[in-house]
Amino acid sequence: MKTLACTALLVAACAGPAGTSVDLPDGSPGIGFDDLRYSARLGKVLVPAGRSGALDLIDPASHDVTSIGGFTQMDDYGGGHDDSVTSVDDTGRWLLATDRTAGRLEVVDPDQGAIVTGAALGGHPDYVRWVAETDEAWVTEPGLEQIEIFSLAGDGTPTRTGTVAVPGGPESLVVDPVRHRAYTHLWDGATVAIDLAAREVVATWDNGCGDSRGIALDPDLGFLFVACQEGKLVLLDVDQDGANLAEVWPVDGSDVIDYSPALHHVYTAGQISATVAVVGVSSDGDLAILGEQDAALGSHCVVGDGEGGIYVCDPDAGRILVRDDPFDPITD
Amino acid sequence: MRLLLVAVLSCALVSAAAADEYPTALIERPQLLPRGLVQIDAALGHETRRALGIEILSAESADLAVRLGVSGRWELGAASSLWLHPDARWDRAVSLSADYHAFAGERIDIAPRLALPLSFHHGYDLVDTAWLGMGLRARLGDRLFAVAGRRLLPIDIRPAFALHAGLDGGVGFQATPALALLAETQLAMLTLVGPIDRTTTIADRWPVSLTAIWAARRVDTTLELRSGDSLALESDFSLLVSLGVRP
Repeated sequence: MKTLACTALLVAACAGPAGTSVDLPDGSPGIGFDDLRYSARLGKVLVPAGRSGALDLIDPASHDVTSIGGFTQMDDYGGGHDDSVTSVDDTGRWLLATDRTAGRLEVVDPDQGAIVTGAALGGHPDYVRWVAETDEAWVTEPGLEQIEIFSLAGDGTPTRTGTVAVPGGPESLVVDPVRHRAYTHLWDGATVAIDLAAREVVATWDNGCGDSRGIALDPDLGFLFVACQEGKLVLLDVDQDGANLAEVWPVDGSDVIDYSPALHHVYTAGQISATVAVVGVSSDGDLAILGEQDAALGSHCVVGDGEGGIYVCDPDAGRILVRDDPFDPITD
Repeated sequence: MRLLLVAVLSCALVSAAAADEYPTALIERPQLLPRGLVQIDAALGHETRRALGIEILSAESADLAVRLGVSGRWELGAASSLWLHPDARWDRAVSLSADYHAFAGERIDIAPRLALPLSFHHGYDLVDTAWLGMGLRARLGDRLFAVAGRRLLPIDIRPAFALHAGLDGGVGFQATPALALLAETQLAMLTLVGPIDRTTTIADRWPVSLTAIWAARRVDTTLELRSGDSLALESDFSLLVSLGVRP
């Protein structure tokens, strides 16, 4: 009886994370995930699947996976997230994805399910974001402390048009269509605002992080969310010269975060705490931890589908964990 | 195996004897259980939590705790919880506690408590917050007593180290030899050291708890109501009914 009770306790303590998961093709050796996105146009979660050499699209309803190959494929997973395809964004026509191993910006036609064109990058890429206002692809290159900018031809072919110098960065990138700016971090506790047209840093704000990581934006409210590696989430007001309005400590070991403007919820995952947290945002700039759920050790990236689905990376298992956001929208 | 059986039976006999001598009235009890006395607490509770205008938790739980008087000066305890509704699950945490009877005066006694909640989640963090309480109790009269510092120092360990001072206290009234009433509040929490800011005052929120304890020789029945902010109509709220048995 005692043995049975001990066994039950051990099983309860050591069982895997609660909830469902989506196994990715060739994921079992592990995948060094980094950026995750959701495309409302396609109705898919976009998962650059690192060493597996594929951009995986997950259907939120069925959890079916569509795999778009052609990126650098590697057999072994050595930890970290430096291999192959690690960042993606949707232009409204193409999917842009960066391949770290090949040092390329690839342009994917989601209708064909294939890479159709691309361009070599000047440096090791981190994030790619589409700037709709200027029809440009911005690619962060921390090794060169710059953002490399490309225009896209009608067939999607990228042409390099310039760079923005970001000394001490750039880490993460988000575009603000309301204020015609982009925001990125410096690694060492600061966030900068970049004028999209002038292509230069126009403001630098202390973000309170020991090590800056993820970024997200509510363009209507002018709230910029900063994830610190130590787990802190900071809210800066971009209309008040980056004033720090609030901060909370929802997880331990944060990196890539996401924000649902419809729900006013921020999602942040902790690679040390092995949790994913939902943080509420009020219109006057308050933050409150609404709840947390189990994730996995190494879970450092998360994206929401805007309808209460939360997708969290599990690098060691090469899969995506699926969690629910059960909380009501914040209307305060 | 025989040795274990003898040890368990000996403990049971010592505990039974100590339970018979244990005062019924709360005001007459020592803060710690006497040597050899075991108390098992089982509780059922409902908890509602709100934040930013929405309900973030409405759940029922069951708590189980065991306390053991090791000597006249030391008491050890362990506690854990099960969520019953809406999701039935163990909360994967066990809180260990140690109480030390540091001072016993004619009217005042002090028994500091260290509580260490151990987490068995999937993460690396075994302990994220520890609690150190001063455990002050003062007899103000035959029926009236005061308590303070039950949660004096929250200590954040992960994800960052931070130290805070809590100013909490309450007043108890021994209505009958069996019935004691206790009202407690927290006036403020001040962050002393570290980046995690827990500073609040009653201007922000005024938490209040009201407790009624009906004590018999071997069984305590407790009803506790807690409000996260007694000045706000919609705030955190919990109701707990527990049985404490001294076998």
